[in-house]
Amino acid sequence: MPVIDTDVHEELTDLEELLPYLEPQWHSYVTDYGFHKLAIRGGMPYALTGGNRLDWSDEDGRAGTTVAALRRHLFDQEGESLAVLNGFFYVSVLSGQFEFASALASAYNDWQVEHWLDPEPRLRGSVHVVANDPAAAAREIDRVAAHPQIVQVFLPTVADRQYGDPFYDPIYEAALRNDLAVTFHHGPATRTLVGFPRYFAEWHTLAPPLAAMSQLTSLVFNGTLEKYEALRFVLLECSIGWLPWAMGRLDENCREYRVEVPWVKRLPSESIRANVRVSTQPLAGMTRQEFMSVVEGVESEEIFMFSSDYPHYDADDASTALPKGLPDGLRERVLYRNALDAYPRITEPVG
Amino acid sequence: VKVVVCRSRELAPGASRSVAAGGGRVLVHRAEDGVLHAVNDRCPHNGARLSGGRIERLITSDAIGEYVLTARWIVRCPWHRYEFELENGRCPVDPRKRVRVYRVADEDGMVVLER
Repeated sequence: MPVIDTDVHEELTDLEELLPYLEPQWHSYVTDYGFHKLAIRGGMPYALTGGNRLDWSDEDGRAGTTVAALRRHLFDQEGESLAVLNGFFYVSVLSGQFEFASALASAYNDWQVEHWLDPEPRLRGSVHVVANDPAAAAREIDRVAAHPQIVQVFLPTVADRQYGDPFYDPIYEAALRNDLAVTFHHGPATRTLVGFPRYFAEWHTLAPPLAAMSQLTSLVFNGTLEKYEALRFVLLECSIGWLPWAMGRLDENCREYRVEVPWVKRLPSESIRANVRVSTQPLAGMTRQEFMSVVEGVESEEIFMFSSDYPHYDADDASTALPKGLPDGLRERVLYRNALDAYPRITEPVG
Repeated sequence: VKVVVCRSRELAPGASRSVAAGGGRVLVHRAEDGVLHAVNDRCPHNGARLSGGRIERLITSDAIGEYVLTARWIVRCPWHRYEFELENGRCPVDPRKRVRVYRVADEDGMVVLER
Protein backbone atom coordinates (compact mmCIF):
# COMPACT_ATOMS: atom_id res chain seq x y z
CA MET A 1 0.00 0.00 0.00
CA PRO A 2 1.35 3.51 -0.78
CA VAL A 3 2.47 5.63 2.15
CA ILE A 4 2.64 9.42 2.29
CA ASP A 5 4.63 10.65 5.27
CA THR A 6 3.35 14.11 6.20
CA ASP A 7 6.01 15.11 8.72
CA VAL A 8 9.69 14.75 7.89
CA HIS A 9 12.39 17.11 9.13
CA GLU A 10 15.37 17.99 7.03
CA GLU A 11 17.97 20.09 8.79
CA LEU A 12 20.93 22.33 8.11
CA THR A 13 24.26 21.21 9.52
CA ASP A 14 25.36 24.80 9.80
CA LEU A 15 23.77 28.16 9.12
CA GLU A 16 26.66 28.98 6.78
CA GLU A 17 25.19 26.43 4.36
CA LEU A 18 22.69 29.15 3.52
CA LEU A 19 25.27 31.75 2.49
CA PRO A 20 25.21 30.84 -1.22
CA TYR A 21 21.44 31.46 -1.18
CA LEU A 22 21.38 34.52 1.08
CA GLU A 23 21.39 38.02 -0.38
CA PRO A 24 24.90 39.47 0.19
CA GLN A 25 23.78 42.38 2.36
CA TRP A 26 22.85 39.87 5.05
CA HIS A 27 26.03 37.75 5.03
CA SER A 28 27.71 39.69 7.84
CA TYR A 29 24.88 38.82 10.20
CA VAL A 30 25.80 35.16 9.78
CA THR A 31 29.58 35.44 9.42
CA ASP A 32 30.47 38.36 11.72
CA TYR A 33 27.59 39.59 13.87
CA GLY A 34 27.06 36.41 15.84
CA PHE A 35 23.57 35.52 14.68
CA HIS A 36 23.14 31.82 15.22
CA LYS A 37 20.32 29.62 14.08
CA LEU A 38 19.76 28.64 17.69
CA ALA A 39 18.25 32.11 18.00
CA ILE A 40 15.38 30.76 15.92
CA ARG A 41 14.77 28.06 18.46
CA GLY A 42 13.25 30.54 20.84
CA GLY A 43 15.09 29.86 24.05
CA MET A 44 14.04 26.33 24.87
CA PRO A 45 15.80 25.69 28.19
CA TYR A 46 16.20 21.93 28.25
CA ALA A 47 19.38 19.87 27.89
CA LEU A 48 17.58 16.91 26.29
CA THR A 49 19.13 13.55 25.60
CA GLY A 50 19.63 14.18 21.90
CA GLY A 51 16.71 14.80 19.58
CA ASN A 52 17.33 12.19 16.93
CA ARG A 53 16.95 8.44 16.64
CA LEU A 54 20.42 6.99 17.09
CA ASP A 55 20.18 4.43 14.28
CA TRP A 56 19.40 7.33 11.92
CA SER A 57 22.23 9.54 13.23
CA ASP A 58 25.81 9.98 12.04
CA GLU A 59 28.79 9.84 14.39
CA ASP A 60 28.20 13.49 15.33
CA GLY A 61 24.63 12.75 16.33
CA ARG A 62 23.21 14.57 13.33
CA ALA A 63 20.33 13.19 11.32
CA GLY A 64 18.10 14.47 8.58
CA THR A 65 20.97 16.39 7.05
CA THR A 66 21.48 14.45 3.80
CA VAL A 67 19.06 13.35 1.16
CA ALA A 68 21.00 10.09 0.75
CA ALA A 69 20.36 9.08 4.37
CA LEU A 70 16.72 10.10 4.21
CA ARG A 71 16.26 8.14 1.00
CA ARG A 72 17.78 5.06 2.59
CA HIS A 73 15.79 5.29 5.82
CA LEU A 74 12.34 6.28 4.60
CA PHE A 75 12.07 5.08 1.02
CA ASP A 76 14.34 2.00 1.00
CA GLN A 77 13.86 0.70 4.54
CA GLU A 78 10.36 1.91 5.41
CA GLY A 79 8.93 1.68 1.91
CA GLU A 80 7.37 5.13 1.98
CA SER A 81 6.12 6.51 -1.33
CA LEU A 82 6.28 10.27 -0.71
CA ALA A 83 7.47 12.40 2.20
CA VAL A 84 6.65 16.02 3.02
CA LEU A 85 9.52 18.13 4.36
CA ASN A 86 8.83 20.52 7.23
CA GLY A 87 12.37 21.56 8.10
CA PHE A 88 13.66 22.55 11.48
CA PHE A 89 14.20 26.20 10.71
CA TYR A 90 11.19 28.04 12.03
CA VAL A 91 12.07 31.52 10.90
CA SER A 92 8.56 32.81 11.65
CA VAL A 93 9.54 32.66 15.29
CA LEU A 94 11.84 35.67 14.84
CA SER A 95 9.88 38.57 16.25
CA GLY A 96 11.99 41.42 14.93
CA GLN A 97 13.99 42.61 11.90
CA PHE A 98 11.60 40.88 9.56
CA GLU A 99 13.67 41.89 6.52
CA PHE A 100 16.56 39.70 7.68
CA ALA A 101 14.14 36.97 8.69
CA SER A 102 12.54 37.07 5.23
CA ALA A 103 15.96 36.87 3.59
CA LEU A 104 16.75 33.81 5.72
CA ALA A 105 13.42 32.22 4.76
CA SER A 106 14.12 32.78 1.07
CA ALA A 107 17.62 31.37 1.38
CA TYR A 108 16.31 28.35 3.23
CA ASN A 109 13.59 27.75 0.66
CA ASP A 110 16.12 27.82 -2.16
CA TRP A 111 18.48 25.55 -0.20
CA GLN A 112 15.60 23.13 0.33
CA VAL A 113 14.83 23.05 -3.37
CA GLU A 114 18.44 22.51 -4.46
CA HIS A 115 19.52 20.04 -1.78
CA TRP A 116 16.33 18.06 -1.27
CA LEU A 117 13.55 18.52 -3.79
CA ASP A 118 15.55 18.58 -7.00
CA PRO A 119 17.64 15.48 -6.15
CA GLU A 120 14.69 13.42 -4.87
CA PRO A 121 11.38 13.44 -6.77
CA ARG A 122 9.61 11.59 -3.95
CA LEU A 123 10.06 14.56 -1.60
CA ARG A 124 7.57 17.38 -1.27
CA GLY A 125 8.44 20.72 0.28
CA SER A 126 7.30 23.71 2.31
CA VAL A 127 7.41 27.44 1.83
CA HIS A 128 8.96 28.88 4.97
CA VAL A 129 7.81 32.44 5.55
CA VAL A 130 7.91 35.23 8.12
CA ALA A 131 4.38 35.19 9.46
CA ASN A 132 4.89 38.58 11.13
CA ASP A 133 5.20 40.17 7.68
CA PRO A 134 2.24 38.72 5.77
CA ALA A 135 2.78 40.80 2.64
CA ALA A 136 6.37 39.60 2.30
CA ALA A 137 5.23 36.08 3.17
CA ALA A 138 2.68 36.17 0.36
CA ARG A 139 5.35 37.30 -2.12
CA GLU A 140 7.61 34.47 -1.00
CA ILE A 141 4.78 31.96 -1.36
CA ASP A 142 4.12 33.13 -4.91
CA ARG A 143 7.83 32.89 -5.71
CA VAL A 144 8.59 29.47 -4.21
CA ALA A 145 5.32 27.86 -5.26
CA ALA A 146 6.63 27.94 -8.81
CA HIS A 147 8.48 24.74 -7.91
CA PRO A 148 6.13 21.81 -8.57
CA GLN A 149 7.21 19.83 -5.51
CA ILE A 150 6.17 22.58 -3.08
CA VAL A 151 2.89 21.52 -1.44
CA GLN A 152 2.39 23.68 1.65
CA VAL A 153 3.05 26.87 3.57
CA PHE A 154 4.67 26.23 6.92
CA LEU A 155 3.72 28.18 10.07
CA PRO A 156 5.08 27.32 13.52
CA THR A 157 2.60 27.16 16.39
CA VAL A 158 3.40 29.32 19.34
CA ALA A 159 1.00 29.96 22.16
CA ASP A 160 0.65 33.73 21.85
CA ARG A 161 0.08 34.13 18.11
CA GLN A 162 -3.53 33.84 16.95
CA TYR A 163 -3.40 32.50 13.42
CA GLY A 164 -7.11 33.17 12.97
CA ASP A 165 -6.41 36.90 13.07
CA PRO A 166 -7.25 38.45 9.68
CA PHE A 167 -3.75 39.97 9.82
CA TYR A 168 -2.59 36.65 8.34
CA ASP A 169 -5.12 36.60 5.51
CA PRO A 170 -2.53 37.50 2.83
CA ILE A 171 -0.74 34.25 3.71
CA TYR A 172 -3.92 32.18 3.39
CA GLU A 173 -4.87 33.90 0.15
CA ALA A 174 -1.43 33.20 -1.31
CA ALA A 175 -1.67 29.56 -0.24
CA LEU A 176 -5.10 29.28 -1.82
CA ARG A 177 -4.15 30.81 -5.16
CA ASN A 178 -1.15 28.46 -5.37
CA ASP A 179 -3.05 25.29 -4.38
CA LEU A 180 -1.00 24.84 -1.22
CA ALA A 181 -2.04 23.55 2.18
CA VAL A 182 -1.21 25.57 5.30
CA THR A 183 0.62 23.53 7.89
CA PHE A 184 1.17 24.19 11.58
CA HIS A 185 3.86 22.54 13.68
CA HIS A 186 5.22 23.34 17.11
CA GLY A 187 8.88 24.15 17.59
CA PRO A 188 11.35 24.87 20.33
CA ALA A 189 9.86 28.34 20.73
CA THR A 190 6.43 26.91 21.49
CA ARG A 191 5.59 27.42 25.12
CA THR A 192 2.92 25.77 27.18
CA LEU A 193 0.19 28.06 28.44
CA VAL A 194 2.23 28.50 31.62
CA GLY A 195 5.49 29.10 29.78
CA PHE A 196 8.40 26.68 29.79
CA PRO A 197 7.84 24.17 32.60
CA ARG A 198 10.84 22.94 34.61
CA TYR A 199 11.32 19.73 32.64
CA PHE A 200 11.26 18.69 29.00
CA ALA A 201 8.92 15.82 29.86
CA GLU A 202 6.33 18.38 30.92
CA TRP A 203 6.92 20.53 27.83
CA HIS A 204 6.83 17.62 25.42
CA THR A 205 3.54 16.41 26.94
CA LEU A 206 1.77 19.75 26.85
CA ALA A 207 3.24 22.27 24.43
CA PRO A 208 2.37 20.65 21.07
CA PRO A 209 -1.29 19.84 21.76
CA LEU A 210 -1.98 23.04 23.72
CA ALA A 211 -0.56 25.18 20.93
CA ALA A 212 -2.51 23.22 18.32
CA MET A 213 -5.74 23.58 20.31
CA SER A 214 -5.18 27.31 20.71
CA GLN A 215 -4.54 27.84 17.03
CA LEU A 216 -7.41 25.61 15.94
CA THR A 217 -9.76 27.52 18.25
CA SER A 218 -8.55 30.78 16.74
CA LEU A 219 -9.09 29.49 13.19
CA VAL A 220 -12.61 28.41 14.14
CA PHE A 221 -13.93 31.47 15.94
CA ASN A 222 -12.28 34.05 13.73
CA GLY A 223 -14.09 32.41 10.86
CA THR A 224 -10.88 31.47 9.03
CA LEU A 225 -11.95 27.91 8.30
CA GLU A 226 -15.17 29.08 6.70
CA LYS A 227 -13.64 32.07 4.93
CA TYR A 228 -11.07 29.77 3.31
CA GLU A 229 -13.20 26.69 3.00
CA ALA A 230 -11.23 25.47 -0.02
CA LEU A 231 -7.97 25.64 1.93
CA ARG A 232 -6.66 22.67 3.89
CA PHE A 233 -5.18 23.40 7.31
CA VAL A 234 -2.82 20.71 8.58
CA LEU A 235 -1.90 20.23 12.25
CA LEU A 236 1.30 18.24 12.72
CA GLU A 237 2.65 16.28 15.67
CA CYS A 238 0.17 17.52 18.24
CA SER A 239 -1.33 14.13 19.30
CA ILE A 240 -4.83 13.11 18.30
CA GLY A 241 -6.69 12.05 21.45
CA TRP A 242 -7.77 15.59 22.38
CA LEU A 243 -9.55 16.29 19.11
CA PRO A 244 -12.95 14.69 19.86
CA TRP A 245 -13.10 16.61 23.15
CA ALA A 246 -12.09 19.85 21.44
CA MET A 247 -14.66 19.46 18.69
CA GLY A 248 -17.37 18.93 21.28
CA ARG A 249 -16.34 21.97 23.32
CA LEU A 250 -15.98 24.15 20.23
CA ASP A 251 -19.48 23.17 19.10
CA GLU A 252 -20.94 23.80 22.53
CA ASN A 253 -19.33 27.22 22.87
CA CYS A 254 -20.41 28.08 19.35
CA ARG A 255 -24.04 27.39 20.25
CA GLU A 256 -23.68 29.34 23.48
CA TYR A 257 -21.78 32.36 22.13
CA ARG A 258 -22.82 32.54 18.49
CA VAL A 259 -24.00 36.10 19.10
CA GLU A 260 -20.39 37.06 19.81
CA VAL A 261 -19.06 35.44 16.63
CA PRO A 262 -22.01 35.64 14.19
CA TRP A 263 -19.68 35.23 11.21
CA VAL A 264 -19.37 31.57 12.24
CA LYS A 265 -22.17 29.90 10.29
CA ARG A 266 -21.35 26.23 10.71
CA LEU A 267 -20.64 24.13 13.74
CA PRO A 268 -16.87 24.03 14.30
CA SER A 269 -16.82 20.24 14.14
CA GLU A 270 -18.25 20.40 10.61
CA SER A 271 -15.65 22.91 9.49
CA ILE A 272 -12.88 20.83 11.05
CA ARG A 273 -14.07 17.70 9.30
CA ALA A 274 -14.22 19.64 6.04
CA ASN A 275 -10.86 21.36 5.99
CA VAL A 276 -8.57 20.41 8.87
CA ARG A 277 -6.23 17.43 8.73
CA VAL A 278 -4.15 16.11 11.62
CA SER A 279 -1.02 13.96 11.51
CA THR A 280 -0.82 10.80 13.58
CA GLN A 281 2.59 10.80 15.22
CA PRO A 282 3.10 10.40 18.18
CA LEU A 283 0.71 7.47 18.35
CA ALA A 284 2.53 6.09 21.40
CA GLY A 285 1.40 2.53 20.88
CA MET A 286 -2.32 3.24 20.68
CA THR A 287 -4.41 0.09 20.57
CA ARG A 288 -6.93 -0.54 17.85
CA GLN A 289 -9.72 0.20 20.31
CA GLU A 290 -8.12 3.48 21.39
CA PHE A 291 -7.50 4.59 17.80
CA MET A 292 -11.00 3.66 16.68
CA SER A 293 -12.53 5.54 19.60
CA VAL A 294 -10.79 8.71 18.41
CA VAL A 295 -11.91 8.16 14.80
CA GLU A 296 -15.45 7.56 16.02
CA GLY A 297 -15.21 10.60 18.28
CA VAL A 298 -14.39 12.92 15.39
CA GLU A 299 -17.05 11.19 13.25
CA SER A 300 -14.76 11.03 10.25
CA GLU A 301 -12.21 8.72 8.68
CA GLU A 302 -10.81 11.59 6.65
CA ILE A 303 -8.99 13.68 9.25
CA PHE A 304 -5.90 11.71 10.27
CA MET A 305 -2.79 11.33 8.10
CA PHE A 306 0.27 9.20 8.74
CA SER A 307 3.44 10.99 9.82
CA SER A 308 6.78 9.68 11.02
CA ASP A 309 8.49 12.78 12.47
CA TYR A 310 11.73 11.48 10.92
CA PRO A 311 14.47 11.63 12.16
CA HIS A 312 13.44 12.39 15.72
CA TYR A 313 13.86 9.89 18.53
CA ASP A 314 10.14 9.25 18.97
CA ALA A 315 9.44 8.75 15.27
CA ASP A 316 6.68 6.37 14.18
CA ASP A 317 7.48 3.77 11.53
CA ALA A 318 5.16 3.51 8.55
CA SER A 319 5.26 -0.27 8.80
CA THR A 320 4.34 -0.64 12.47
CA ALA A 321 2.85 2.59 13.84
CA LEU A 322 -0.82 2.06 13.06
CA PRO A 323 -2.61 -0.45 15.25
CA LYS A 324 -3.18 -3.87 13.75
CA GLY A 325 -6.69 -4.78 12.72
CA LEU A 326 -7.85 -1.40 11.42
CA PRO A 327 -10.44 -1.65 8.66
CA ASP A 328 -8.64 -1.68 5.28
CA GLY A 329 -10.40 1.44 4.07
CA LEU A 330 -9.39 3.40 7.14
CA ARG A 331 -5.78 2.21 7.00
CA GLU A 332 -5.59 3.26 3.37
CA ARG A 333 -7.05 6.64 4.21
CA VAL A 334 -4.58 7.28 7.02
CA LEU A 335 -1.55 6.02 5.13
CA TYR A 336 -2.12 8.06 1.97
CA ARG A 337 -5.62 8.89 0.75
CA ASN A 338 -6.25 11.63 3.32
CA ALA A 339 -2.93 13.23 2.37
CA LEU A 340 -4.00 13.27 -1.27
CA ASP A 341 -6.99 15.30 -0.14
CA ALA A 342 -4.97 17.55 2.16
CA TYR A 343 -2.36 18.57 -0.39
CA PRO A 344 -4.00 19.60 -3.67
CA ARG A 345 -0.66 19.44 -5.45
CA ILE A 346 -0.11 15.78 -4.60
CA THR A 347 -2.24 14.30 -7.31
CA GLU A 348 -0.14 11.70 -9.01
CA PRO A 349 -0.62 8.02 -8.27
CA VAL A 350 1.73 6.98 -5.49
CA GLY A 351 3.14 3.58 -4.79
CA VAL B 1 -56.59 21.56 18.83
CA LYS B 2 -57.11 25.26 19.47
CA VAL B 3 -56.12 26.71 22.81
CA VAL B 4 -57.09 30.19 23.95
CA VAL B 5 -54.03 31.85 25.45
CA CYS B 6 -55.49 35.15 26.66
CA ARG B 7 -57.29 38.23 25.40
CA SER B 8 -55.39 39.93 22.63
CA ARG B 9 -55.08 43.15 24.60
CA GLU B 10 -53.50 41.23 27.47
CA LEU B 11 -50.50 40.37 25.30
CA ALA B 12 -48.88 43.69 24.44
CA PRO B 13 -45.97 44.03 21.98
CA GLY B 14 -42.83 42.69 23.67
CA ALA B 15 -44.81 40.53 26.13
CA SER B 16 -44.70 36.73 26.48
CA ARG B 17 -46.76 34.03 28.11
CA SER B 18 -46.10 30.39 28.83
CA VAL B 19 -49.26 28.34 28.56
CA ALA B 20 -50.06 24.69 29.19
CA ALA B 21 -51.12 22.97 26.00
CA GLY B 22 -51.33 19.33 25.00
CA GLY B 23 -49.33 18.01 27.92
CA GLY B 24 -46.49 20.46 27.48
CA ARG B 25 -45.95 24.19 27.57
CA VAL B 26 -45.82 26.69 24.77
CA LEU B 27 -44.09 30.06 24.79
CA VAL B 28 -46.29 32.67 23.12
CA HIS B 29 -44.72 36.01 22.32
CA ARG B 30 -45.97 39.14 20.63
CA ALA B 31 -42.97 40.79 19.05
CA GLU B 32 -42.53 44.54 19.14
CA ASP B 33 -43.68 44.69 15.52
CA GLY B 34 -46.96 43.10 16.67
CA VAL B 35 -46.38 39.68 15.09
CA LEU B 36 -47.30 36.68 17.26
CA HIS B 37 -44.95 33.71 17.66
CA ALA B 38 -45.37 30.41 19.49
CA VAL B 39 -42.67 27.82 20.18
CA ASN B 40 -42.31 24.82 22.43
CA ASP B 41 -41.35 26.15 25.85
CA ARG B 42 -38.67 23.55 26.38
CA CYS B 43 -35.06 23.87 25.24
CA PRO B 44 -34.04 20.77 23.23
CA HIS B 45 -30.60 20.95 24.83
CA ASN B 46 -31.21 20.44 28.56
CA GLY B 47 -34.91 21.09 28.97
CA ALA B 48 -34.91 24.62 30.38
CA ARG B 49 -38.06 26.70 30.02
CA LEU B 50 -37.34 29.10 27.18
CA SER B 51 -39.92 31.50 28.60
CA GLY B 52 -37.36 32.27 31.31
CA GLY B 53 -34.92 33.53 28.68
CA ARG B 54 -34.69 36.71 26.66
CA ILE B 55 -36.33 37.60 23.36
CA GLU B 56 -33.88 39.50 21.18
CA ARG B 57 -33.21 40.50 17.60
CA LEU B 58 -31.05 38.02 15.71
CA ILE B 59 -27.56 39.30 14.97
CA THR B 60 -25.89 38.08 11.77
CA SER B 61 -22.66 38.84 9.96
CA ASP B 62 -20.90 38.34 6.67
CA ALA B 63 -17.38 39.16 7.88
CA ILE B 64 -15.34 39.08 11.04
CA GLY B 65 -15.93 42.14 13.17
CA GLU B 66 -19.29 42.93 11.59
CA TYR B 67 -22.50 42.70 13.65
CA VAL B 68 -25.80 43.23 11.84
CA LEU B 69 -29.04 43.52 13.80
CA THR B 70 -31.79 41.86 11.76
CA ALA B 71 -35.56 42.10 11.91
CA ARG B 72 -35.79 38.44 12.97
CA TRP B 73 -36.46 37.40 16.55
CA ILE B 74 -34.79 34.76 18.67
CA VAL B 75 -35.39 33.44 22.15
CA ARG B 76 -32.20 32.97 24.12
CA CYS B 77 -32.32 30.04 26.55
CA PRO B 78 -31.85 31.11 30.17
CA TRP B 79 -29.37 28.34 30.85
CA HIS B 80 -26.74 27.86 28.12
CA ARG B 81 -27.73 30.81 25.93
CA TYR B 82 -28.70 28.71 22.94
CA GLU B 83 -30.69 30.76 20.42
CA PHE B 84 -33.83 29.67 18.58
CA GLU B 85 -35.53 31.70 15.90
CA LEU B 86 -39.16 32.36 16.81
CA GLU B 87 -40.26 32.21 13.20
CA ASN B 88 -38.92 28.76 12.37
CA GLY B 89 -37.50 27.29 15.62
CA ARG B 90 -34.00 26.95 14.18
CA CYS B 91 -30.83 27.23 16.22
CA PRO B 92 -28.86 29.48 13.84
CA VAL B 93 -25.59 27.55 13.97
CA ASP B 94 -26.84 24.02 14.58
CA PRO B 95 -29.62 22.68 12.38
CA ARG B 96 -29.91 19.59 14.60
CA LYS B 97 -31.19 21.72 17.48
CA ARG B 98 -34.65 23.00 16.87
CA VAL B 99 -37.80 23.87 18.80
CA ARG B 100 -41.23 23.16 17.44
CA VAL B 101 -43.18 26.13 16.14
CA TYR B 102 -46.96 26.46 16.41
CA ARG B 103 -49.52 28.55 14.62
CA VAL B 104 -50.84 31.40 16.73
CA ALA B 105 -53.12 34.28 15.77
CA ASP B 106 -55.49 36.91 17.04
CA GLU B 107 -59.04 35.62 16.55
CA ASP B 108 -62.06 37.64 17.67
CA GLY B 109 -60.04 39.53 20.28
CA MET B 110 -58.37 36.43 21.65
CA VAL B 111 -54.88 35.03 21.18
CA VAL B 112 -55.49 31.51 19.87
CA LEU B 113 -52.84 28.79 19.64
CA GLU B 114 -53.11 25.70 17.43
CA ARG B 115 -51.43 22.69 18.92
